[in-house]
Parts: sequence; structure tokens; C-alpha cells
Amino acid sequence: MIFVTGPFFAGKKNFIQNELGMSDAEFQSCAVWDVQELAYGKTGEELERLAEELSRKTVVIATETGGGVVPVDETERKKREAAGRLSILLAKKADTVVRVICGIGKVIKGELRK
Amino acid sequence: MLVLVTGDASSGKSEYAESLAMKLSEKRIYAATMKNDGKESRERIERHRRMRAGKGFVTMECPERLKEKAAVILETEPDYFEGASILLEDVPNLLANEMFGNKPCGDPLQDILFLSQRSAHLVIVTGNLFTGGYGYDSMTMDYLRKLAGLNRSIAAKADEVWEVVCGIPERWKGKGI
Repeated sequence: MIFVTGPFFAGKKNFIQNELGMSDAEFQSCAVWDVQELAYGKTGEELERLAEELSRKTVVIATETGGGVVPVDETERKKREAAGRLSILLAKKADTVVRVICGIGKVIKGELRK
Repeated sequence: MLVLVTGDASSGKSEYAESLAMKLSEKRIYAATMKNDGKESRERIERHRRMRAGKGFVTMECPERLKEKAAVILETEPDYFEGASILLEDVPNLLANEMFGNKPCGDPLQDILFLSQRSAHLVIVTGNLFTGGYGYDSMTMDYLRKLAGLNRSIAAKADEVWEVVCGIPERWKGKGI
């Protein structure tokens, strides 16, 4: 599994789809994105199970949401915490981790084979 | 050469961008985008001025309408940008001034490309404002979306893209200067 992360609107989907030379249809069927939203409300084993399930996809994409001030609101804080934890689990399971900023990807774990 | 420097707030982007601009040419122009309209901005402007003091930068004030400003300068001094390295600081400010100023919004990307075509080197400072989650109001999200689009467009055209982390520059594109 290839895990792609980076700030929002950084061009994560475009980058990895182009890099893998996939058509839109192929990409839609083997990739999943905005997975940070699936983490909300989950902890511990639930997050583990979610990561396990997601890692069956070829490409998993999460948006970095842990920057800025820690939210005062408890729900928002928990969302952010869950998103961060999920990303760590996914990066551990991934063969390849790519971080994208400004539309440019950098492999930070493993290698990217086309 | 077109260079984009990004990073978090106060990560040392300015210092690094400045050092690149100095390496690229002895003729140096600082394209300043910050509006001088409050205590905090005045302090920041002062800090950046002290940083640049004695480094041979000529300051060009361009908080908005960069292209118009440049065109006016070129009318009286056609070789103003020739052989120069311009340090443009920064894109988040420029876009905010365009989007939230009094005049109707200009096109910062076209303005930046105009400047890039007319100078030998353009070093552009931008910022990573995109990791704080989606919990902003729609006006701010619109701004962030546009800013990210600008960053991607500039990065695609740039010869070099750098991210500065804790004062350490990391290369994302190009071969190094």
C-alpha cells in the first residue's frame, strides 16, 4: 500500500495518480482519500481495524490536520487526535509513504515504483 | 531562475530566501507585499528591514497590483529589473491584499509571471497554511484554496522549490543553487 499525506489542497490525488499512470476509473477503484474523516470518533482497536481495512487498498490518502492551535472544542480536538493516530498506523503498514506539498511529492519511506 | 520557498510561520523562510536572492545576483530588489497598517505589521516590516540592511536590496512596495506597479516603474526605468534578483515576500500577503482589499481582485499568478519574465531571478516566499484542519469559515477556506492553487502553479513553473523547517532548507524540486 502507498500512503500519501500532506496539507490540504496540496495536489495529493493528482500527484499520485499521475505518478502511477492511472486512469480516473482505475484510481477511483483502488484509491481512497480523506481517510482522516473516517477516523473521527474511533480510538485504540477501532483505529487499528480501520487502518487494517484501509491498507488493502493500493493507495490511501490522508490530509494533515494536526497543525495550528490545538482546538479548544473537545470534539474537534478528538477528531484531530484520531486523524493523527490513524496516519501513524497507516504509515507503519505502508510499503511506501509519500508527502506532497505544492503539488510535488517526496518519498519519505520505501520507494515509489510505477 | 524561478525559486519558490515555503514553510510554516517563523520557520526561517525569509532568511533562506534572502540568501538565495543574494547568491543569484548583486543587483537585488525586495518586492514588499505587507501593508504598513498596524503595530504588528510595522514591527515585522522593521525586523525584515533590519535583516536586509546593508545587503544591497532596493525596496519596491507592492502590496497589491504587482504587475501595474512593475509596469509603472518600467516606463521610467526600462532596465530596472534587468539582471536583478527579486525577492518577493510573500504570496499569502499578496493574495490577502488582492482578495480582501478595496479594489476588485487582481490575478496574482499573472502578476508573478510578469515579474518572473522581466527579471533574471525571482525568489518567491510563500507559506504552508494548510495543516490546521478544515474548520475555518467559508471565506477563509476560499482564500486557502486559492493560495494553495497559487503555490501549486508557481511550484510547477519553478526551477527550484524549497521547504524550510526550523531554519533548515529542504529541497523539493531542482538541483540546488
